[in-house]
Amino acid sequence: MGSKYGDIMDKVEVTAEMRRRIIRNIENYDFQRRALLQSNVRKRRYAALAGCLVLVLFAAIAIPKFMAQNTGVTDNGGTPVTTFSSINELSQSVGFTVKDINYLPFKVSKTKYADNDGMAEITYKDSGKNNAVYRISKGNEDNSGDYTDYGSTVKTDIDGSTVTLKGDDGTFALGIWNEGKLSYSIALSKGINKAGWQKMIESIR
Amino acid sequence: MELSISAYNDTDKLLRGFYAYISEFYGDPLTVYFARSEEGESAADQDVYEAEAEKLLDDYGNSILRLAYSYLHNMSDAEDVLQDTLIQYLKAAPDFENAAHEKNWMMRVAGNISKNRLKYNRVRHSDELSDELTADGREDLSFVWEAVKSLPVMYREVIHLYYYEGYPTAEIAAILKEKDSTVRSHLSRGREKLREILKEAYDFGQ
Repeated sequence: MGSKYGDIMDKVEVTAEMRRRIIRNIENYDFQRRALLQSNVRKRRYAALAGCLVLVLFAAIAIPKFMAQNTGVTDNGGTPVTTFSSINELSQSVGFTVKDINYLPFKVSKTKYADNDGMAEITYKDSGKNNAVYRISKGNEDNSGDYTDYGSTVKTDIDGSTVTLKGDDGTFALGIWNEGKLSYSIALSKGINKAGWQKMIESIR
Repeated sequence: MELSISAYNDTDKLLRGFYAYISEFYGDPLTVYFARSEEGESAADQDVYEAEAEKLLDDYGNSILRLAYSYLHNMSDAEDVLQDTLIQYLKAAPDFENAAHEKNWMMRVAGNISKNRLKYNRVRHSDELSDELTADGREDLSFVWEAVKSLPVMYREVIHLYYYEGYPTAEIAAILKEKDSTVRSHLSRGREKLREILKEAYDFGQ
């Protein structure tokens, strides 16, 4: 082998401090796999609870006109929103494969998977006010629901798709693109730069 | 009592709406309800991840870090690549026939993450190794390092895997998802370029 090259590379080592940093970051990483491992256990529990919910439903039906004339809180004028505990369940519900964003510009503490009338919607939140709403739907329409009149709009190629980024003052809070027969959008509560968008979209796996 | 389909539908809508409303403010009630009972399982899982990460660092940490460094020439970026590679492994939890396959998988992932960083210019531009070699008065090593760094990535990665990790070209081809003939060609051209630059300091063999 190149002995000098070997001498050089021997100097590159995992130090104790580096090791501590990596282990600490892994400790804080929210593994999707954990949800998958527990999904079977959860499914059994959900089935039991679903039985209880059916009873509650029928009990509620027994309350006559009061229920029929409800002023109930529905979303989107009655469009059902169904939440799921895992991305696989969401994919099954909407009928196409949905993948998580693995890099976000904040530390995710809560993820919500929802089928919003056939549109997949994943909401990531941190422990503060930061959040990201990732939507995927059939067709090629802008599904973001964000009609803000942003000062800046640019188009950039990321991971083989042309992404339209919208924002102000050098940062972008909204990204929309199409891939195949699906439309995608990510809306951030706080804008990030173009490189951040690149990293975020590339992390969708 | 009058029970109609309409009443059923309205009740269903009401409950769904109520559920969505509660979820928005307090989190999915089912998830919240089960979260407590799953805390023990989550803590156990986390222990497993940490133990796995520790073992992976022991077994492959230096190899991955060195491969990443050979691409990026920057310790911070190489550390990020090492961490991302471990996370990818823990997320995918792949099955392997043996340790060699496991290492190959990790090297491939680390290589791909490193190349992605290079591709999109997200590397930080500092090179601790160059500084260290110069500070140690190892101009001979510094010269070799600069020569290797000057090679195109396709030659550099093959040189590293062949000479430092000791992989045969067929395995390098499997790791890099290239043809064996392409790897041999890159190895040959990489050597040729190094020979031109290093002249009598060339010690990479044939």
